[in-house]
Amino acid sequence: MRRPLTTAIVRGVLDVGRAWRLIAGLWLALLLVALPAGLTVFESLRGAIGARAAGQELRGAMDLVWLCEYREAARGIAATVAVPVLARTALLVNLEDWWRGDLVGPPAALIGLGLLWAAVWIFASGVALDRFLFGPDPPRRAGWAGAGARHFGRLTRLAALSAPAYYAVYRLAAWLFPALEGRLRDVTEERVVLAWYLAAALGVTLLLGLVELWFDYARVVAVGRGVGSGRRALTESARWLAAHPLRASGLQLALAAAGGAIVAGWLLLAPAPFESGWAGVAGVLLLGQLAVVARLVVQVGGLAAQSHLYRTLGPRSGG
Amino acid sequence: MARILLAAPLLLAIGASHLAAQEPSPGGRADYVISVTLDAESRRLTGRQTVRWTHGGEGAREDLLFHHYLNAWRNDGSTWMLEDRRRERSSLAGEPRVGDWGWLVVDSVRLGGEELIERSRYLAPDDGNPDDRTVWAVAIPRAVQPGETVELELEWRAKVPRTFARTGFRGDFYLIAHWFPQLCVTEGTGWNCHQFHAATEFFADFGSYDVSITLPERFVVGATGREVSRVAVGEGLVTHRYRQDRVHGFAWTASPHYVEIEDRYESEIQAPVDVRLLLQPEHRRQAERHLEAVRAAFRSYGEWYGPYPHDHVTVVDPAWGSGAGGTEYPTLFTAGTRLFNPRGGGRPEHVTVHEAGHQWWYSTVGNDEMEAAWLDEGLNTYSTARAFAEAWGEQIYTHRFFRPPGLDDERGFFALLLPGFDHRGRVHLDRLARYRPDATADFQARATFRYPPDRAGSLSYSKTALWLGTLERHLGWPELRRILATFYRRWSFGHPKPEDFLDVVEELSGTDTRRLVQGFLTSSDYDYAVESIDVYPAALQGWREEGGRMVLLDPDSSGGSDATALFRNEVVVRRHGSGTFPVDVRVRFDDGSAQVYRWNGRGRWLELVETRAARVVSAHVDPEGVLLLDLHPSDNELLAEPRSLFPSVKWTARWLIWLQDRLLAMSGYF
Repeated sequence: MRRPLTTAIVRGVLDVGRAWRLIAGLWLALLLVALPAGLTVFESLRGAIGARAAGQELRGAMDLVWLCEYREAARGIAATVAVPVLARTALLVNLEDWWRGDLVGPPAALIGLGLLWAAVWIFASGVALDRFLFGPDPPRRAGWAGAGARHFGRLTRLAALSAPAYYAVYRLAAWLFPALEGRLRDVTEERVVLAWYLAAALGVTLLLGLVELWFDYARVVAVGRGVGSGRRALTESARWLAAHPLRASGLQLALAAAGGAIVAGWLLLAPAPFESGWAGVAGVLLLGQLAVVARLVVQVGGLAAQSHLYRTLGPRSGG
Repeated sequence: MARILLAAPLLLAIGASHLAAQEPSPGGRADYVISVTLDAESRRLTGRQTVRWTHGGEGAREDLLFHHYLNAWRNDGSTWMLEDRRRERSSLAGEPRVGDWGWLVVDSVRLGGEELIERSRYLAPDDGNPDDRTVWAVAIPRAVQPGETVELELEWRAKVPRTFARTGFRGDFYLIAHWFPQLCVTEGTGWNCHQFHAATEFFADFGSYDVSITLPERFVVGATGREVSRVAVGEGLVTHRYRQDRVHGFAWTASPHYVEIEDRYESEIQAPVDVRLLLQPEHRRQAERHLEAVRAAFRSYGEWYGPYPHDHVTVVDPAWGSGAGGTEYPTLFTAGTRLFNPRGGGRPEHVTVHEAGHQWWYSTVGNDEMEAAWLDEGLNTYSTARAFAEAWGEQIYTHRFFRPPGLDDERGFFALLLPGFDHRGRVHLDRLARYRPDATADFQARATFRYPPDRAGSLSYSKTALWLGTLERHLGWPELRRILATFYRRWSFGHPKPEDFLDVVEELSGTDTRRLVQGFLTSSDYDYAVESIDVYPAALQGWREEGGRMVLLDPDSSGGSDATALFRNEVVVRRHGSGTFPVDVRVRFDDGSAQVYRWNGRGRWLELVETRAARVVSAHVDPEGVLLLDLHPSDNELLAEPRSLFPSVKWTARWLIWLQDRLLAMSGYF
């Protein structure tokens, strides 16, 4: 019981190392979900470039004249092709959209992909939690599928219940900042306004983190104790979190820091789009997939660490 | 270096002749002596002014017309407010509150000691809007004859608005522009006096200004002109007196927080210019970047068009959120920057160069911004892009992050430069993107205040910059520069009309160029494209009559290897837009040769047929990119064989990484 947070993190790292098949499967599934959209964008780009000479220029840096024209005509998922998405800021864009509540939004194809991935992720997280909570022995293939199927319903119910909670936080944020702007309308220094906005952003982020924490442990409770009722899982999760607020939030902070490090790493390491040969493209794609795998490792490792923390501190210690 | 040495005598010649021509053009003149007091608690202005006006038009005037610009924000029924609803560009965050509105009321107007306030009324000459009080007329007992000078005395009060657009307050920051009753301009036999519109600016006669501003001593003040005295008048108040000749307006600013920085611009072609920079304390580190931009603008504009006619300029860095940035007044302009603005992203340099450039196009050449805003905004936008490119070259794409949700302003606080997405010297790139959606919104030749308010910027700024860039490529920079320098010299301290610009164009470049410019003003869209490339064997197939009998031609036995076979190459070029412009069409062949065809660009399409022992590999209409107005330059070149695989894969790969990460980010919800 000494240093349970550190132990949970270490066990999370070790467990995720042993769950490399799960990571590989998730990466493959993610690629399969994303690929049809990738093909759509590829076809859209190819159609727009066609026999136009812009294609020659686009072998190097982006031709912004061409991109402006392309974006004006692009529809559906192709409309998401934009400079910050293609640049080293791609991951930062997603982080900001998460914070702003813009992650799930138009175009419809993106929402559809999100739902499809949600189904995959819910299934996989059922498998992962089952494994991390009930034993280190690698389950048989059928066991994986069985575990995923067994927990799918209860985890889906929890996902559905989380929607209004997240929505409430985002609505609060959409009210908070304009209200703050109204209060700051006579402030003449940007740094003062920025300080207020950063404080408010921290508050919103903490609320989002709290909702995430609550539902994360509700999932652990749902799988670990076989709780089918979403409401009961949430109640027990809240009680458990109330009993172990520092350790649970400490682990959450560690996971957030690991996720942030990946975003920062991509921002710093991602090459500017000057690659003009196939080897360069393959290199960028490989680097990108490494970043994707790293994120998967953090997410699955998070499930492992949360499971261990929950097991170590005892499911009943909160209530 | 050789080019610079050759150009130097020409520059000096332009400078000398310009200085000789710097006397106010004949016409109207309005000299103002104003005393104004700012009550910072109530945000009220109390003013007393004397206007000495010389009638510069034709025919007698029985009314004197004034602008009351501040009344644009008297209530939401003014023409400015009604038009702004359509363009949604007010600087005000959210709906106006009670203390936000502003107004101007004249309590007394006297001519020769006779009170005329009862003979005054508001007019709405443009739209008849009874709630608009931006044009005010005073009937005078005796008509003023052409060339006659009259002197009026006015007493007035005003409430400073929160900044709806540039003028106003935020906290203890004030930018007070177009704040006093200002005489309209007489032209021909009538007044040229428009209401204040959302998408247009100002117009007034040149004259001298002697303005005394009284306000609490804690304020640092900047204004049009030079400060000639500063006197404490008791009760913690100070009177700042400024004077300036040969200007057509007077603006001032006050804030207790300004950091004052002095600099001097020195050049061989003109007298030194004292630069006074009033900077927000949080932007102290960007002082040199502002000054560097001022120097770049003065160097480029001075060398290209002629010297700046005054010996000082005040650069104002407005307060955060004041909405007062990026605007110009005689001998004073506001720039605008952010706390985080990395070098290379173009800000504050771009806005500073642009507003400094207005000291040439607007402050010195005083065109009517209500009827032909393109004459200053367009010429200046073009010049800004050129000056910027000359001083800094590439501008790297900047994306701003941390955009708080729910706010109208979508620009984030933290800026990141994104190499690989540079503007790459395409100085008009952003202008084309802004112009394209509004290309058919209206004809540029219409009066600016009649443009759709939400589209006026595209037409005045972007379209003009694009067609001037086109002219530069068509005529060459030396010739265009000669046109612009002559226009500047001829119309310094005057009120040119579009016709006057066209006259200079014709005088220096001929009737054809005038027609081209007229075409730019009256056509809405330009768009050329290569539509198709087709290559066929030139040898006949089928039947041919030989010696009175029909012979079946067999292409396989027609002789000759593929290398010597003839091909019929067909290229179709199309004009999609309504505007016409002479363009080249360059066709390249697979033997390395190229053929350039000249097309007057007038037909709807052009078919080029070339039979030779080579196949077309590409066709390019306007290969030198002369026609910057072309709405879709990407379709100007067509290849016989597509080469789209690599770039499509490359950019899809990058996009895919974003999508995968986005889906993973969504996982957090589930």
